[in-house]
Amino acid sequence: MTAAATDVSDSARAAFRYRAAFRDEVTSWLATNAPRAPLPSVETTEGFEAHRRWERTLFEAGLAAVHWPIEYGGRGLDPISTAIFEDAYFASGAPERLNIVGLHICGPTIIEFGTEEQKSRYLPDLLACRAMWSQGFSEPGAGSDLASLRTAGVVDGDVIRVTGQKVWTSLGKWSDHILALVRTDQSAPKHRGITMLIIDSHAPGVTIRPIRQLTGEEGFCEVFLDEVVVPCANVIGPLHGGWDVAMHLLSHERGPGVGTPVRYERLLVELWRIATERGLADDPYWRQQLAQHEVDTQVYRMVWERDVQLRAAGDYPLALACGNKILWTELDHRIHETAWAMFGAQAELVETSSDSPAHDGWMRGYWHSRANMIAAGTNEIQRNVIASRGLGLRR
Amino acid sequence: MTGVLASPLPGLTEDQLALFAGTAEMLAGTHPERRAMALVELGVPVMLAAREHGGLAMGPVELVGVAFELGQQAEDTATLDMAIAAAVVSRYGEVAQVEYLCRLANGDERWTVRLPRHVYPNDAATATRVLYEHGGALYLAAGADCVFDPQHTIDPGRNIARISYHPRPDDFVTRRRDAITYVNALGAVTYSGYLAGLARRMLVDAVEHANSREQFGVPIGSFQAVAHRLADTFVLVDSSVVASFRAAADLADGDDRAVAVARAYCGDAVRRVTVNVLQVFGGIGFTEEHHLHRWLKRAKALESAFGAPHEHRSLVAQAMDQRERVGLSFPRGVR
Repeated sequence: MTAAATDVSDSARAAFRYRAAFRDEVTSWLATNAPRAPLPSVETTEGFEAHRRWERTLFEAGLAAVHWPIEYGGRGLDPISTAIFEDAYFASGAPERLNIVGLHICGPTIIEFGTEEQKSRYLPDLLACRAMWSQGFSEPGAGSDLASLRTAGVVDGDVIRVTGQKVWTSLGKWSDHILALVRTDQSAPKHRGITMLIIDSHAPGVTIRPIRQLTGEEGFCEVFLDEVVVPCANVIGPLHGGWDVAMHLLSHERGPGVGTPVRYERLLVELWRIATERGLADDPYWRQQLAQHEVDTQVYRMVWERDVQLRAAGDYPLALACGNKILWTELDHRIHETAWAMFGAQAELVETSSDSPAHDGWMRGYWHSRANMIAAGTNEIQRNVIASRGLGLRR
Repeated sequence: MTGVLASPLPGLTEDQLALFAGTAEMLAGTHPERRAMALVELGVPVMLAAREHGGLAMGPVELVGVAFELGQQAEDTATLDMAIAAAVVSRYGEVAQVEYLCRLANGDERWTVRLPRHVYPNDAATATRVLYEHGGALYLAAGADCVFDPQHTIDPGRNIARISYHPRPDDFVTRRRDAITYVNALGAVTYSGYLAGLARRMLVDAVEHANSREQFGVPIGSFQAVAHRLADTFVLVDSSVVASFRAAADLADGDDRAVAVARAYCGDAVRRVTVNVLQVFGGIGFTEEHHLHRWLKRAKALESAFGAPHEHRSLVAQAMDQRERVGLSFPRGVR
């Protein structure tokens, strides 16, 4: 009836039918194969192994990394189909993915910048979750100002001797390989003397020490490197050219593929249930609060879907990727603040307390929502990037 | 909409983009006093009316896009109200009423819409007909049968009145619930687009100011507090544009569930944008000499147009109650 509807082309309709069929396939596979009950926490050995077994199941079904090229074991899916997979995955309540850093950051970096030898050496085990990967970028003295990193790599024939320290290395205590940035040319300007290389976590000189977060979890580590011998064959991209590779890699940390909207939609369904149980659902204040989160969640979904389409078209502005990160992390935080407020005096209790309302998932989620505004580029840095690269504000 | 601050909308068609660009060009190239007539010539009043009624048979996306361009210019909203009224009469009106639509197309009549949620449509006193909601029914009243009590407003561009009308059976259009829902939804989504346009123009002006105004030897935009305010404003504007156009696209498909979401969001967003932008402009932004006040006042005046944010949030809450989550399916195919 409208002009817009009549502009639909046949190939676009076919693409939609293909994607709808793919969504149904994923949803039905998950309904049959996903674990019925939540798995134990990754913090425990038992939980880690359970998650690893689930990753194996995904791998055997060809669903471990649908966005990877087919030749490397993926399904070669475009960003829209990949987003559909993630939407369906998290809608089903399936376990959190274990090797996210490996599958979404390290793997794609090796695919894009690695040699054929490196691809065949590393990708199969990564995809099958036989090997765990971490990112070794941040240092105690180099967080937001990553380029000021000081871990040094001295080139010596066909090896590089690495000495220094990395921090915030996610899942470091389980990792087999660390994709690290080291300074290999001390005389070059700070962005120009950095090399990206793969460090074997089990090599002599590597010490990994878990850092206890305020939640009691040991989700990340510090990594001490003492004259670690790394073969030059482990360099990714050009020697001294690691900064540009890293910048490319960091773009995968932002934008769609991280804050999938269905996560927040599910949180809100749960929060409405909690509000109803506590007799708050008819209170005008709580209704407005929850409706505000619903509004923000649906607008975030609309922005996310738009962003996925831009990424699929190969033209996704950096400023929008930064904006996307700000939107979902701050939405996640606000939802959790409301949950905390709803639990009232019991909010502070941990699950072992006799008065605890069994809200442990919400408490963990609350602190994670605080961490998300800092990790993967603080929201202040995201705003800086929007200001300079998006708005063209002069410095 | 071009430039580094543009909000890309991959779902728009070539025709839609051309319409919006053409509207922007027309507004830029036409004297303010002749713009209302130019919009009539463009066909905006009958944009959503059926072809057999002399309309252009377009949809909410086209109307929101035009509203967005008007908002960027803080242009008079009367033509939008005409389009909303005409859309509803074309869809739900009696044969005799539908015949009046062609007079709207050729500029012989001017219509407006007055609902409990839209009590001060602009330039209503000069309207030949008023689509008036009363007691759960819609009437197409003759202007001569209405009483207009002029109201004075802070917004220099608005010419408004309280409109009183005693329903006449001959003017009856419909009592259908879906018609009442539709007129309110169409109005809310259209004004979401207009508010997003106001917000965008304010952002563009503020960025230009931050880049050119120097204090302490540097552009004020180089101070992080200012830069971050503008970064936040960018996110608010972009997401408002996405929300208003997406809600319009859904409405075009007969799904109005995203309208309350968009209207609540855009209302709150533009409110925050007016705060951020005036802070960036500082003292000069508080004068009548600078143009910012026109956008600020228009934004404040229309905060409740077709329902305030909290009223739309209440609608969203009701939908949640009924377990009708405002679920939007992904993907929307070609959009």
